[in-house]
Amino acid sequence: MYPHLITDNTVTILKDGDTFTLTAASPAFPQVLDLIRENRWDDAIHAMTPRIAIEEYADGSLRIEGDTIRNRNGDAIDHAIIPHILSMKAKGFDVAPLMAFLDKVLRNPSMRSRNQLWRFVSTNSIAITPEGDLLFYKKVKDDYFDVHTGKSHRYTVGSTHSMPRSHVDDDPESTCSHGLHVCSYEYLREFGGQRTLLCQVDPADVVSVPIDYHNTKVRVSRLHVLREVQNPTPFDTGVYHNTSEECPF
Amino acid sequence: MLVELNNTHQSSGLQKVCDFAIETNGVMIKALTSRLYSNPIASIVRELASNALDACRTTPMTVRVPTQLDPSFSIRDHGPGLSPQQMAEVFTRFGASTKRSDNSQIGGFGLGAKSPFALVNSYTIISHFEGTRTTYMASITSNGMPALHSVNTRPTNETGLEIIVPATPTNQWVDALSQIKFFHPRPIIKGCDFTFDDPTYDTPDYLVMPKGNAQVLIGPVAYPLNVQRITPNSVPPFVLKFPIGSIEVTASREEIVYSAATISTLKARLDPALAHYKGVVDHLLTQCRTIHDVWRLLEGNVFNSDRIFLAKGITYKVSSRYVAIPSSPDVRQVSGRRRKTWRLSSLGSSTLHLHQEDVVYLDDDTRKVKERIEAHLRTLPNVTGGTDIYLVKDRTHFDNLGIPVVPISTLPYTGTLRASPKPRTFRIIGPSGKLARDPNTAIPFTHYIKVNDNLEWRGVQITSNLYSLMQARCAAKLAVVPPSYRGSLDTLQDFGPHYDAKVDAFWKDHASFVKDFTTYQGSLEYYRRPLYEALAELKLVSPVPSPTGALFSYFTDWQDISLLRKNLPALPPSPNYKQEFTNVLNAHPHLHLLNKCSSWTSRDVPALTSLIRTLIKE
Repeated sequence: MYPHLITDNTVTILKDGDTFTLTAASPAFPQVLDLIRENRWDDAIHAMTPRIAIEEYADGSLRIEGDTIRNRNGDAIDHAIIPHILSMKAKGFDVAPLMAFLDKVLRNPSMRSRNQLWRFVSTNSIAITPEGDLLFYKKVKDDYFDVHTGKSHRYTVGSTHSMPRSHVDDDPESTCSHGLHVCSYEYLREFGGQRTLLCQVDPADVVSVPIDYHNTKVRVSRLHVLREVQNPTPFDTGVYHNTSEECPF
Repeated sequence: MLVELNNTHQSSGLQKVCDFAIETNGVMIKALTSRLYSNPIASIVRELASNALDACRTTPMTVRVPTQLDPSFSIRDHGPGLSPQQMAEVFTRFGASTKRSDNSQIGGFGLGAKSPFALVNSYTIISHFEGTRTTYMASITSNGMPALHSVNTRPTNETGLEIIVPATPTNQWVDALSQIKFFHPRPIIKGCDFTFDDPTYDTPDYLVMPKGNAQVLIGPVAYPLNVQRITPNSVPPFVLKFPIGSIEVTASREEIVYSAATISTLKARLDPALAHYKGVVDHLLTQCRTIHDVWRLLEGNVFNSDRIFLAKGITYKVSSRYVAIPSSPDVRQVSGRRRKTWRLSSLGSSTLHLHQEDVVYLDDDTRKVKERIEAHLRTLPNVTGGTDIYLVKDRTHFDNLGIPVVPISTLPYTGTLRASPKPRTFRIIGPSGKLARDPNTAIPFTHYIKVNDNLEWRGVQITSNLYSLMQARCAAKLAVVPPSYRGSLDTLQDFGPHYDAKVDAFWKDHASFVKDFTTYQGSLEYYRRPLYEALAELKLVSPVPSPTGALFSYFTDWQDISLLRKNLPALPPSPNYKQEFTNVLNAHPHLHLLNKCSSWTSRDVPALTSLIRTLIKE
């Protein structure tokens, strides 16, 4: 047992005079308390230290040099992903979908789009599929046609829609512009239309995240319609198996 | 901070029952920690950094703001550290302070070291004192009372105190650093990019910062200055310096206490500071050789007041942000460049406010202008989203001011030029109805108008209203037709871009009035329309304007056809409907009664006509 202190909103462990401390706001907080209860002190310290926790969870796929997180190829990954990594670790998800997601983000050909995607990640929960694709909602009209024109795209379940990337507006300051639009739960009530669809989007196809509505709306160049959702719920960071019974959608 | 407690207390015939005391319990502690500060994060940064500065004023402290990778806030000073006795007697005692005897130190309320309790229930203190490194943990125990636990000791060769507060990374931690940005020596900031702005002007009494709001610097701690309490005027980013203790602060030390004495102290410092700095700037201005120098000097200067300069007999207004260049109809501005909808819009009669970063081109060429300008802009280092691009025909003002103007004709062409298509020639039908050649056929027209029943120009359906409007404007039947046109002249309905600045200005003035008259915008003017129609019936005012309001927006897009305009006869004066209407009402006071009613409809026009006729006869 190491000297430690647990209060309502903090946990602190001392090991050889080094302080490891965490607030209750951290996604790892409940897990750390459990580990302490099980007397697994070193594991608790590892869970409390994001550097160690991330490297442990990624199992060699990510490494941290100074203040930079790098993947296997040495590409830098934005710090916005850290809370999501810790959260997925705490929830016990497999690391592979997350790594696939990061690979796909880095495969996005535009730096401008990647930066906007990190901004989306920093303010939203990310729901991903086992292949590392992002899940989004989309509202369509009663006849499944798009809300904006009502005639250009018919989003039937199982259909895939794409448009040339160069035709999608990549300026985050143009809040309503050209492109296929998807959104997170928070934006749904701003989105006109009668039916809500669950869509799968490859992070490499994300073009821009307009700056209004707290980064909840996304313009993409390609999307796949998974299913229609009767009662949409907010996404929680995690991996969603579209086929499984536990899928909340 | 020197705290003097020598209140007058003279009494006689009173029997003291007891002293007031402060109960030490969890509620009281809560009042002194989490309920004391309205902004706990800023307070923790300020209080702990102030203590660190009091501890050591030679070696800079290290402040680490929480990041996603290191979610805790820490401050490390290089003072002597605290002994176990000091920890027990001062650090843990609310209201205990060793700093009340003199004004060289910031603290004195005896609350600062406890400020992390405002945010979290425990934090760690590591004291390196006389060769021993002791780790303490301060925490709020289950009954709400704080306690200090000593955890671990080991030898060390360092000195100083480190405080580690568990924290969630947010921008508030970075924002809070602004209160300690005047600390000397400057703290070493880790975990974020924080730049310390250097003052643009520094005196013992005040500092002038390049940007921001007015502040008060008490010792090294910066406090926002509530300017409205001091002066009704706006105050540039001045930082007034005061020694510790000369200005009262609240117990939370989050803001200044604006007592009458404080306000007068602040006022007595602010006004001379403003006057002094204005003098400094004026002195520098006298050393400028050109207006361009003035502009450079005023750029980033905190005084935004405009200054008037005379260059070659013309006065120019120069402010810190722009030079105002008198209006000239030839100036055109590029708009929509960022949205890739490149468009040239005329500035008309508005004054051109030219900023430092703007680029001015001399409008002396018409070929591939967009491509050449865009290519040139890419070579310029300082072009940002805020850069405005202007095309001017007359460079006099810019030469007067020493502002560079780039002639478009000197810009290279980009890419390969296609062979020009065969120049289109157009014929003009003169007032006589016969075909006339353009007198300047050497230069072909660049635009032509489709001629068909649904007259369309630039994708806009032009209605017959425009036809009658154009007839009224030009007082001549003019047409621009393509050479291939073989139809009858009688069916020609054409309106080229007969642009005329005077007409345009007139329509702009009256656009809203006419629009209100002719549309259902729910405006009062609309309801007056029947009355106006009745007056027009009696020929008291000009005929009712045709409903053209919706077309006004297209006027600005019309091309400048200076070649064509030469052949136009003079314009007949257009009526000023609003003025005429007012004049008639003033001439016949009875009519004011009719004007008061706002529910006339077009069916009332005949009745109104006869009524007005009767009223005027009377």
